[in-house]
Amino acid sequence: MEKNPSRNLAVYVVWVPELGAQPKHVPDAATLVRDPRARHYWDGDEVVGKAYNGVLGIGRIAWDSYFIFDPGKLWDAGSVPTPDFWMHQMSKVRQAPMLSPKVFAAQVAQRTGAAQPAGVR
Amino acid sequence: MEVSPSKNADNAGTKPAPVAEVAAASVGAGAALTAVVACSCCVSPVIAPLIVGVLGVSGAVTLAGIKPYTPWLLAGSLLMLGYAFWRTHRPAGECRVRPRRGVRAMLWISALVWMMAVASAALNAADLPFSTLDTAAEPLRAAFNADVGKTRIVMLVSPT
Repeated sequence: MEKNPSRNLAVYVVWVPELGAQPKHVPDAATLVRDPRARHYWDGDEVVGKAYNGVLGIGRIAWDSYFIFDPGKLWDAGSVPTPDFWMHQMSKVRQAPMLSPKVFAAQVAQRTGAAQPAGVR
Repeated sequence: MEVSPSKNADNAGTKPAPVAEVAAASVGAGAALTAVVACSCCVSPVIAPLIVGVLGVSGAVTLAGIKPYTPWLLAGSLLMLGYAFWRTHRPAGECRVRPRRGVRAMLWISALVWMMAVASAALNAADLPFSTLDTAAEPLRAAFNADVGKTRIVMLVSPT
Protein backbone atom coordinates (compact mmCIF):
# COMPACT_ATOMS: atom_id res chain seq x y z
CA MET A 1 0.00 0.00 0.00
CA GLU A 2 2.96 2.28 0.60
CA LYS A 3 3.95 1.94 -3.06
CA ASN A 4 0.43 2.64 -4.30
CA PRO A 5 -0.76 6.04 -3.09
CA SER A 6 -3.92 5.95 -5.21
CA ARG A 7 -6.97 7.42 -3.50
CA ASN A 8 -9.11 5.03 -5.57
CA LEU A 9 -8.08 2.11 -3.42
CA ALA A 10 -9.85 0.74 -0.35
CA VAL A 11 -8.69 -2.21 1.72
CA TYR A 12 -10.76 -4.29 4.11
CA VAL A 13 -8.77 -6.59 6.37
CA VAL A 14 -11.06 -9.30 7.71
CA TRP A 15 -9.45 -11.09 10.64
CA VAL A 16 -10.69 -14.66 11.12
CA PRO A 17 -10.48 -17.20 13.99
CA GLU A 18 -8.05 -19.56 12.28
CA LEU A 19 -4.96 -20.97 14.00
CA GLY A 20 -6.51 -20.33 17.43
CA ALA A 21 -7.00 -16.62 16.82
CA GLN A 22 -9.23 -14.54 19.10
CA PRO A 23 -10.38 -10.93 19.01
CA LYS A 24 -7.65 -9.97 21.47
CA HIS A 25 -5.05 -10.79 18.80
CA VAL A 26 -6.47 -8.33 16.28
CA PRO A 27 -5.13 -4.98 17.61
CA ASP A 28 -1.52 -6.12 17.50
CA ALA A 29 -1.84 -7.77 14.10
CA ALA A 30 -3.68 -4.76 12.69
CA THR A 31 -0.60 -2.62 13.17
CA LEU A 32 0.81 -4.41 10.12
CA VAL A 33 -1.65 -2.46 7.99
CA ARG A 34 -1.78 1.07 9.34
CA ASP A 35 -2.63 2.74 6.05
CA PRO A 36 -5.62 5.10 6.50
CA ARG A 37 -7.27 3.51 3.45
CA ALA A 38 -7.51 0.20 5.33
CA ARG A 39 -10.27 -0.83 7.70
CA HIS A 40 -10.20 -3.79 10.04
CA TYR A 41 -12.92 -6.27 10.92
CA TRP A 42 -13.25 -9.34 13.11
CA ASP A 43 -15.29 -12.16 11.55
CA GLY A 44 -15.63 -14.53 14.48
CA ASP A 45 -18.17 -16.78 12.72
CA GLU A 46 -16.25 -16.73 9.42
CA VAL A 47 -19.39 -15.51 7.67
CA VAL A 48 -17.39 -14.18 4.73
CA GLY A 49 -15.13 -17.23 4.43
CA LYS A 50 -18.08 -19.63 4.48
CA ALA A 51 -19.86 -17.63 1.79
CA TYR A 52 -16.82 -17.69 -0.45
CA ASN A 53 -16.61 -21.48 -0.14
CA GLY A 54 -19.73 -21.65 -2.29
CA VAL A 55 -18.92 -18.78 -4.62
CA LEU A 56 -15.39 -19.96 -5.41
CA GLY A 57 -16.12 -23.68 -5.21
CA ILE A 58 -13.04 -24.45 -3.15
CA GLY A 59 -14.62 -27.01 -0.86
CA ARG A 60 -13.51 -25.33 2.38
CA ILE A 61 -13.94 -22.14 4.36
CA ALA A 62 -11.90 -19.48 2.61
CA TRP A 63 -9.18 -17.74 4.55
CA ASP A 64 -5.61 -16.61 3.86
CA SER A 65 -7.18 -15.22 0.69
CA TYR A 66 -6.78 -11.88 -1.05
CA PHE A 67 -9.53 -10.59 -3.35
CA ILE A 68 -9.53 -7.65 -5.74
CA PHE A 69 -12.78 -6.05 -6.88
CA ASP A 70 -13.02 -3.57 -9.71
CA PRO A 71 -14.92 -0.30 -9.33
CA GLY A 72 -18.64 -0.66 -9.81
CA LYS A 73 -19.03 -4.05 -8.20
CA LEU A 74 -21.69 -4.17 -5.49
CA TRP A 75 -22.16 -6.54 -2.58
CA ASP A 76 -25.76 -7.75 -2.62
CA ALA A 77 -27.48 -8.84 0.57
CA GLY A 78 -27.38 -12.58 1.19
CA SER A 79 -24.33 -13.27 -0.98
CA VAL A 80 -20.75 -12.13 -1.54
CA PRO A 81 -19.35 -10.49 -4.68
CA THR A 82 -17.21 -12.57 -7.01
CA PRO A 83 -13.66 -11.23 -7.04
CA ASP A 84 -12.21 -9.98 -10.31
CA PHE A 85 -8.85 -11.39 -9.29
CA TRP A 86 -7.72 -13.36 -6.29
CA MET A 87 -4.85 -15.22 -4.79
CA HIS A 88 -4.46 -17.31 -1.66
CA GLN A 89 -2.19 -19.35 0.57
CA MET A 90 -4.50 -22.31 1.15
CA SER A 91 -3.31 -25.83 0.49
CA LYS A 92 -4.99 -27.97 -2.19
CA VAL A 93 -6.87 -25.03 -3.71
CA ARG A 94 -6.34 -24.79 -7.44
CA GLN A 95 -9.00 -22.28 -8.43
CA ALA A 96 -6.57 -19.38 -8.11
CA PRO A 97 -2.79 -18.98 -7.92
CA MET A 98 -0.83 -18.97 -4.70
CA LEU A 99 -0.12 -15.51 -3.36
CA SER A 100 2.70 -13.65 -5.03
CA PRO A 101 2.99 -10.17 -3.50
CA LYS A 102 4.54 -8.73 -6.67
CA VAL A 103 1.87 -10.13 -8.95
CA PHE A 104 -0.88 -9.05 -6.58
CA ALA A 105 0.56 -5.56 -6.31
CA ALA A 106 0.82 -5.37 -10.09
CA GLN A 107 -2.84 -6.28 -10.44
CA VAL A 108 -3.79 -3.58 -7.96
CA ALA A 109 -1.56 -1.05 -9.71
CA GLN A 110 -3.10 -1.90 -13.07
CA ARG A 111 -6.60 -1.35 -11.73
CA THR A 112 -5.81 1.88 -9.92
CA GLY A 113 -3.58 3.37 -12.60
CA ALA A 114 -0.57 3.47 -10.29
CA ALA A 115 2.99 2.70 -11.39
CA GLN A 116 3.74 -0.97 -11.81
CA PRO A 117 5.98 -2.54 -9.17
CA ALA A 118 9.58 -3.18 -10.25
CA GLY A 119 10.33 -6.61 -11.63
CA VAL A 120 6.85 -7.36 -12.91
CA ARG A 121 6.07 -7.26 -16.64
CA MET B 1 69.35 -8.30 20.02
CA GLU B 2 65.81 -8.63 21.14
CA VAL B 3 63.15 -6.26 19.90
CA SER B 4 60.22 -5.62 22.21
CA PRO B 5 56.86 -6.03 20.48
CA SER B 6 54.77 -2.89 20.21
CA LYS B 7 52.20 -2.42 22.96
CA ASN B 8 50.11 0.05 20.97
CA ALA B 9 46.79 -1.68 20.32
CA ASP B 10 45.76 0.89 17.70
CA ASN B 11 48.32 -0.39 15.23
CA ALA B 12 45.56 -1.77 13.02
CA GLY B 13 46.59 -4.70 10.91
CA THR B 14 49.73 -5.56 12.88
CA LYS B 15 47.96 -8.20 15.01
CA PRO B 16 44.41 -9.54 15.42
CA ALA B 17 42.01 -7.95 17.92
CA PRO B 18 42.11 -9.51 21.36
CA VAL B 19 39.37 -12.01 22.10
CA ALA B 20 37.86 -9.72 24.71
CA GLU B 21 37.40 -6.92 22.15
CA VAL B 22 35.76 -9.25 19.66
CA ALA B 23 33.49 -10.55 22.38
CA ALA B 24 32.47 -7.04 23.40
CA ALA B 25 31.74 -6.09 19.79
CA SER B 26 29.75 -9.28 19.31
CA VAL B 27 27.68 -8.61 22.41
CA GLY B 28 26.97 -5.11 21.14
CA ALA B 29 25.93 -6.43 17.74
CA GLY B 30 23.76 -9.02 19.42
CA ALA B 31 22.10 -6.27 21.43
CA ALA B 32 21.34 -4.37 18.24
CA LEU B 33 19.90 -7.47 16.59
CA THR B 34 17.74 -8.18 19.64
CA ALA B 35 16.43 -4.62 19.57
CA VAL B 36 15.55 -4.91 15.89
CA VAL B 37 13.67 -8.16 16.53
CA ALA B 38 11.88 -6.55 19.45
CA CYS B 39 10.42 -3.77 17.33
CA SER B 40 9.94 -5.80 14.16
CA CYS B 41 6.42 -6.62 15.21
CA CYS B 42 5.30 -3.05 15.04
CA VAL B 43 7.65 -1.43 12.60
CA SER B 44 7.19 1.59 10.45
CA PRO B 45 5.53 1.36 7.03
CA VAL B 46 9.02 1.39 5.50
CA ILE B 47 9.96 -1.99 6.92
CA ALA B 48 6.56 -3.71 7.09
CA PRO B 49 6.38 -4.44 3.32
CA LEU B 50 9.81 -6.04 3.52
CA ILE B 51 8.68 -8.29 6.33
CA VAL B 52 5.49 -9.24 4.49
CA GLY B 53 7.46 -9.88 1.31
CA VAL B 54 9.94 -12.14 3.06
CA LEU B 55 7.66 -13.94 5.50
CA GLY B 56 4.31 -13.65 3.81
CA VAL B 57 1.29 -12.15 5.55
CA SER B 58 0.88 -15.14 7.87
CA GLY B 59 4.55 -15.05 8.80
CA ALA B 60 4.43 -11.33 9.43
CA VAL B 61 1.39 -11.80 11.63
CA THR B 62 3.29 -14.44 13.59
CA LEU B 63 6.10 -11.94 14.06
CA ALA B 64 3.53 -9.48 15.36
CA GLY B 65 3.05 -11.88 18.27
CA ILE B 66 6.39 -10.67 19.59
CA LYS B 67 4.80 -7.38 20.62
CA PRO B 68 3.98 -8.42 24.25
CA TYR B 69 7.63 -9.32 24.74
CA THR B 70 9.02 -6.13 23.23
CA PRO B 71 9.79 -4.42 26.57
CA TRP B 72 11.67 -7.50 27.79
CA LEU B 73 13.64 -7.82 24.57
CA LEU B 74 14.58 -4.14 24.64
CA ALA B 75 15.59 -4.38 28.30
CA GLY B 76 17.70 -7.45 27.57
CA SER B 77 19.41 -5.77 24.65
CA LEU B 78 20.09 -2.72 26.83
CA LEU B 79 21.81 -4.95 29.37
CA MET B 80 23.87 -6.50 26.61
CA LEU B 81 24.86 -3.06 25.35
CA GLY B 82 25.75 -1.91 28.84
CA TYR B 83 27.96 -4.95 29.33
CA ALA B 84 29.67 -4.40 25.99
CA PHE B 85 30.37 -0.74 26.80
CA TRP B 86 31.69 -1.65 30.23
CA ARG B 87 34.00 -4.25 28.72
CA THR B 88 35.50 -1.75 26.31
CA HIS B 89 35.57 1.37 28.51
CA ARG B 90 36.32 0.06 31.98
CA PRO B 91 39.42 1.46 33.74
CA ALA B 92 42.61 0.13 32.22
CA GLY B 93 44.22 -2.70 34.14
CA GLU B 94 47.83 -3.70 34.23
CA CYS B 95 47.77 -5.69 31.00
CA ARG B 96 44.70 -4.20 29.31
CA VAL B 97 45.09 -2.50 25.92
CA ARG B 98 42.95 0.31 24.50
CA PRO B 99 40.10 -1.08 22.38
CA ARG B 100 40.35 -0.62 18.62
CA ARG B 101 38.46 2.14 16.87
CA GLY B 102 36.36 -0.37 14.93
CA VAL B 103 35.12 -2.03 18.11
CA ARG B 104 34.13 1.29 19.65
CA ALA B 105 32.38 2.32 16.42
CA MET B 106 30.46 -0.95 16.33
CA LEU B 107 29.23 -0.38 19.87
CA TRP B 108 28.06 3.15 19.15
CA ILE B 109 26.27 1.96 16.00
CA SER B 110 24.60 -0.76 18.06
CA ALA B 111 23.53 1.84 20.61
CA LEU B 112 22.06 3.95 17.82
CA VAL B 113 20.12 0.96 16.48
CA TRP B 114 18.80 0.30 19.98
CA MET B 115 17.57 3.87 20.33
CA MET B 116 15.86 3.68 16.94
CA ALA B 117 14.16 0.44 17.97
CA VAL B 118 12.86 2.06 21.16
CA ALA B 119 11.55 5.04 19.21
CA SER B 120 9.86 2.77 16.67
CA ALA B 121 8.20 0.68 19.38
CA ALA B 122 6.94 3.83 21.13
CA LEU B 123 5.54 5.31 17.93
CA ASN B 124 3.69 2.13 17.01
CA ALA B 125 2.33 1.35 20.47
CA ALA B 126 -1.17 2.66 19.72
CA ASP B 127 -3.68 -0.07 18.72
CA LEU B 128 -5.94 0.27 15.71
CA PRO B 129 -9.76 0.01 16.07
CA PHE B 130 -11.73 -2.77 14.41
CA SER B 131 -15.40 -3.69 13.94
CA THR B 132 -17.05 -7.05 14.51
CA LEU B 133 -19.08 -8.46 11.61
CA ASP B 134 -22.61 -9.71 12.09
CA THR B 135 -24.26 -12.63 10.27
CA ALA B 136 -24.90 -10.37 7.27
CA ALA B 137 -21.25 -9.32 7.10
CA GLU B 138 -22.17 -5.83 8.22
CA PRO B 139 -20.61 -3.28 8.50
CA LEU B 140 -18.15 -4.61 5.93
CA ARG B 141 -20.82 -4.88 3.24
CA ALA B 142 -21.94 -1.29 3.76
CA ALA B 143 -18.36 -0.01 3.59
CA PHE B 144 -17.68 -2.07 0.46
CA ASN B 145 -20.71 -0.63 -1.32
CA ALA B 146 -19.96 2.89 -0.12
CA ASP B 147 -16.58 2.62 -1.87
CA VAL B 148 -18.16 1.38 -5.12
CA GLY B 149 -16.14 3.83 -7.20
CA LYS B 150 -12.84 2.45 -5.95
CA THR B 151 -10.77 -0.65 -6.51
CA ARG B 152 -11.27 -2.69 -3.37
CA ILE B 153 -9.21 -5.39 -1.72
CA VAL B 154 -10.66 -7.83 0.78
CA MET B 155 -8.16 -9.88 2.78
CA LEU B 156 -9.19 -12.86 4.91
CA VAL B 157 -6.31 -13.46 7.31
CA SER B 158 -5.65 -14.79 10.79
CA PRO B 159 -4.02 -12.50 13.38
CA THR B 160 -1.96 -15.40 14.77
